[in-house]
Amino acid sequence: MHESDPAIVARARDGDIDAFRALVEQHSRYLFGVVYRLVRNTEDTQDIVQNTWLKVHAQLGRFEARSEVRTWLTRIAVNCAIDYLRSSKRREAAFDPADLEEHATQATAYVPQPGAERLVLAGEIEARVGQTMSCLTAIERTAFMLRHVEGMSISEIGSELGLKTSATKHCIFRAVRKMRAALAPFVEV
Amino acid sequence: MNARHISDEDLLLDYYGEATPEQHAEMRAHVETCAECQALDRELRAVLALVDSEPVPDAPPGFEREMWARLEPLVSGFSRTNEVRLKADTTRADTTWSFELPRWALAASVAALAVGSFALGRVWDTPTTPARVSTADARELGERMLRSEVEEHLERSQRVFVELVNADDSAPVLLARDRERAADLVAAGRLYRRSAEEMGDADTRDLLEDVERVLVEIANGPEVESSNDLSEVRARITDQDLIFRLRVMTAGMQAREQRVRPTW
Repeated sequence: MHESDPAIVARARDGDIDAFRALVEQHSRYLFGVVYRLVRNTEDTQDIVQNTWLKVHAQLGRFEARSEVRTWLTRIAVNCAIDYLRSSKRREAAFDPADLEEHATQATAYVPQPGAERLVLAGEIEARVGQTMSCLTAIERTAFMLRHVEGMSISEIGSELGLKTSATKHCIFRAVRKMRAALAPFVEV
Repeated sequence: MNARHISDEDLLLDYYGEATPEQHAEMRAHVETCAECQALDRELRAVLALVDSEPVPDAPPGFEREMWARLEPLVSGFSRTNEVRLKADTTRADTTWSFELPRWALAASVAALAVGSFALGRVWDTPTTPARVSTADARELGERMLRSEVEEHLERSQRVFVELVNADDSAPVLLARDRERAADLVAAGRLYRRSAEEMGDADTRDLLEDVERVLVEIANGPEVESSNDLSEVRARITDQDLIFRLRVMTAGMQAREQRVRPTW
């Protein structure tokens, strides 16, 4: 029978190293995705995932059986990523809306394309999304990704990030505004 | 809301299910009848759909195994140490940080060699000096020895911090022997820090300084039996991300060592 995640956590908490290994092997790939979306750098992501597991190991005793293991892991990973972003000079990478506006005006309006041209356009869109995400401030990107990808509520995000609900909302609003400015040429309304 | 257009912010909150049921019903009713808000709503959804289209790179092949390989020495060491502690065995001479000689003694000689050869290189390493190659070699050798020692020092410090942060609340945590080892690390770290400063390596110097402060606290602190008593030290380690910074620094040193290592 497949052992549940909470049961594995319970064994790991009791010092079963194989149980901890099972958690690492089962969830590391998922955590890589979560962290990468926030820091957008493969090497840093790997280090942060490692740091996440060290914190998980230290906090095994705090896991509440009624919680979802993956949610718990996600929160720890997000906090590690936030700590990293805060301590990194990259967090101050300034967003210059003018740059984005300029790129946006240079882009051509979206027109449905067949075949190869469409693939090229899809590549351009992916590149623009990536570029814009990288231009968001760390706090904007984190708040937005937690809401949009991880599906956390704004109040949950606020408590994770140590922000008031209104400030969290505004981080998300700013992120979406920047995304709209950058992606408008690709959107057919 | 019927009389006015809906703001993009309210539409976004509604999209994410953050609006109340009443607000949601009201907004949907308005959007049905207002071409402008309908267009805004469509645009917003289209943009968010594009964001979803961004692929996230998958972790490298074998990432899970590599992650475990990185973690195992840290968490296994902790488990073994804990087992020993839970058995109240105080003869821990064979645990991960036993030394045959005080670290500071070795640190002093390596630091002296490194700084000496660095200074030698600075004084003698002029364009007209015939012995240029040999002084440069001496400096490089000294620097490499120092880097290797500092790397080991950082790894030892990292293990101390990991043990403290991961310590089981029910186990005895900080005994006289641990404080002696921390004091030894402090003494060695000071020498390495001065050498790093001499050699203009500000990153290493800063990290060593931060590590030293916490080690001093451990070395000078009382013998404590419960990890609860260590909350301040633990918070300091965590707040300053010392374990993470130590790992990043040692990984960088190892990578550099790999690059400069001769292939013969």
